[in-house]
Amino acid sequence: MSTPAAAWPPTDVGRRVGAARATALCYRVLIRQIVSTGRIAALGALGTTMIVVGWVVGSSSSRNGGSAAGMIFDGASYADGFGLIVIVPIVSLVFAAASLGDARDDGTLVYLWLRPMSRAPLAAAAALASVTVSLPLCVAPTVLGGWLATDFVAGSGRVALGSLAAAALGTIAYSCLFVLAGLLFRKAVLWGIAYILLWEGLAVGLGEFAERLSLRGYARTLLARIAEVDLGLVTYRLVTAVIVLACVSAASLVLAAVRLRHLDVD
Amino acid sequence: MVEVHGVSKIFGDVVAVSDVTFAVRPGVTALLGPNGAGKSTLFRMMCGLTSPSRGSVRVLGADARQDRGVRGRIGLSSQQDALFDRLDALDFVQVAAETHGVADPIDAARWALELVELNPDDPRPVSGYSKGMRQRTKLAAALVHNPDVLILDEPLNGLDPLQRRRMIEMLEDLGAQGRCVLVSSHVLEEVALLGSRILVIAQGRLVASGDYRELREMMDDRPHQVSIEADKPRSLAAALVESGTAVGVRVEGGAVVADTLDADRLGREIAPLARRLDARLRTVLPLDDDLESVFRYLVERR
Amino acid sequence: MSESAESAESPIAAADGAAQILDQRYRPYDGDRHGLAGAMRAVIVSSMRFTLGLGRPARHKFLPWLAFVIALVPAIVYVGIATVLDIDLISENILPEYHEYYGYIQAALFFFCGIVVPEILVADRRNGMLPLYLATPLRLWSYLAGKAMAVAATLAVITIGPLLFLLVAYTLEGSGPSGLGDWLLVLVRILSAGVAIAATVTAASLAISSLTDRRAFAVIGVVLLLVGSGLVTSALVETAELDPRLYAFNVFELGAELKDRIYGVGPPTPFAGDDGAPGRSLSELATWFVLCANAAWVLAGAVVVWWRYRRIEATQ
Repeated sequence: MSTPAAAWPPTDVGRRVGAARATALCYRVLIRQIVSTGRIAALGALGTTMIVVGWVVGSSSSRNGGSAAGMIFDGASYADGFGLIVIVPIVSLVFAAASLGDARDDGTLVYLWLRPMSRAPLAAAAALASVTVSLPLCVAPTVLGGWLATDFVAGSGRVALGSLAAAALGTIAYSCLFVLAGLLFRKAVLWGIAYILLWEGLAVGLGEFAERLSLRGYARTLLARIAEVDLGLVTYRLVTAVIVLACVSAASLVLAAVRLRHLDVD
Repeated sequence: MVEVHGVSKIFGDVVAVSDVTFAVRPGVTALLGPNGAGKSTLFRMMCGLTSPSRGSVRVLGADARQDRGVRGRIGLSSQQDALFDRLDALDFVQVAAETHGVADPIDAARWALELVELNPDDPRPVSGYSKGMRQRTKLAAALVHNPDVLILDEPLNGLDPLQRRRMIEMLEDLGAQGRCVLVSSHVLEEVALLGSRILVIAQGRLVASGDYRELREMMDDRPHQVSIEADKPRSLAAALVESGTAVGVRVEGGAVVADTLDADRLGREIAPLARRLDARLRTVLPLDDDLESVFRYLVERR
Repeated sequence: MSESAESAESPIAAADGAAQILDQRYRPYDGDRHGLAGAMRAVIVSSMRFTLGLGRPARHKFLPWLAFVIALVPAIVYVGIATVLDIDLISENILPEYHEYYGYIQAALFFFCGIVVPEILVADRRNGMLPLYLATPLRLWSYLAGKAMAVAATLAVITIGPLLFLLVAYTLEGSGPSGLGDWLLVLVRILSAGVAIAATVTAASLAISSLTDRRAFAVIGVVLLLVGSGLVTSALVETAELDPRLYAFNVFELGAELKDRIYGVGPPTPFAGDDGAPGRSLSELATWFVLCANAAWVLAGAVVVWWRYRRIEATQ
């Protein structure tokens, strides 16, 4: 170990880091932490499966003489059932819960927490990093799978557009929610899965009130409204769905920032 | 620079830190205590990583949990072994510099890594580093923003003897520059080398603070042991007891091990006594003026 | 050795008897040893306790017990309401038929196998307990058999417990099977359907859990396999109208279909297609095919677990 020089190195030491700079720095670190070959490969394979099956469904249905309306419905149902119910929440959960949750669990959060920065940029960076990775893994299979399942009949563009909006806004909302979950619970992935299976999978079947409290209903509303398909269950107005998803995202980030302020860091 | 006043920290049913009060000034101060004594919890409270259940902790006059400015003036090397494992050392330290607002982060990171004798151009991610290299990487990240208060939790873990000696020299230099350097350890020899100012914590309570040699002197109710090598050990032993300088003696090989309640008196009288017996003194060595005996006495009362 | 054992037995004697030195050094255990059976029992009991969160803080109990609640509470509520209102259970349609109750059980089973079962295998590898277990009379096969028995015993509470409760309640209310023969037939159906409905799901869950040391990854893998296989096969068979034998890849529903065959009933309400004709379902498959597909999944799961643990054993 060298003896430090009497004068510190010629650096101009600032004492505070602005919000934009802090967000960019935290984003750079977190995105490298959450991306791993295994995660991308496994979740990419899931998306590829959806696309391939969508193509099989589309080509078989048209060969079997399916009506255009039926194929639009099949495509939208497929994008909803596979994309919005499975891929979007689970992919978002894997990356968002890991962004701050893993850092908290393994003790590396201190390297971003004990800094002259406010907390909001850290929460925002975690959500941004999660969305950056999740978005292509969610949107591409949902849009392509749904679109291919329609076999490009007239009106299939609406299915693709609806899938795009629903998958994108759904991914953002789920990511923000699960970033918060990563700060609230140890083993956030388990609690997130429990939420997806029990609440979004089972409880929504119990009534309209339960469905109003699940993100899935709002995401599928975007798909149903834009594709002009009745997917069953409750659908809301398009504007309502967009506002609710945006509000959930924003509220989750605010709560995550508040949680970071009061968090006990190891 | 660091003031801890009436601080307690309670986790459920466990009292990790109990009513601790002390102040730390510039220079090196060692926080000594067995594993689980509450050292890391105290450090976490100083850094604002957790808030005290009772009392207050001020670093540079503010609470690091609330004050962004103060957080920028603290350098922490935590006990956690985890680093951002996908980054190489230069990236890791550079991120630390950037998040502290250092204007020239790459140069600062290179300088800090060279300071701890790591190669800034090593392309390996830190996940491939040995324990000692990870420890030094953490230290570089703690130093890179020129902190006023440096808090190092068990920083010598995993270092080889040579690295330990150099690290200790470096910490002494940092303290001499007017920084407040707080170092925790449960290894007594380390703390003895680090400096004379210690805070001893056991079972969550502060049991002693100050210069450990002075502390040793304050413990007059317990005999000191002094080893005296001389060529007439049995005669010397008898004379020490007869004069009342020693309350107990034993002869081990060519040396007399004397228990005394007044080490200063023994030091003054041993030479005239030897001359009177025509004995040649070779060494007079206090056996228990080391930190371990202080620590054992304070913590275990024996 | 005998000296130390003796001194250990009578440490107080030294105070008023002859002088003796109490040997406080390491002494090997020389009590009874229960061998392989005892070791397996230890694996089963500790695995069940760990899985159910017994002796652990409340947060570890929440998820496994939630699965029990999902499976058992509806049965208790049905019987409770019928008893309080003094209504004939079956004729008033207060209680479902035996095979109709499996909806709750499937929900609990999905939840339990998805979230709780992975911990049974993952924890020992992550905590470093596996080498310690294998240093006992346990061998790989007996360790894994112990784990499988722990899972089976725990799952039996979910897949068999509620039905046995209903059977007893029906019988006590006078709505049960008529005659000993019918009663025994229902009992056999309950037991065999309980095994059938859980076998493939459990095998898949254990196989995936053997592939990763992180519980979160195992949970995600199991959930994706159970949900994804159902979605893919139903899309291919029902929408794309491909060969219904593709349902052999529907891990979750295969067991439920075998259960229906055991009870001798078809699917509750076949989906209607665009043309109004009944939709396609697993009921198109021959019983031998359903049975073989279930067996194949169980076998494949066992092979994956065995292969994986052989590799782990070789590297440790």
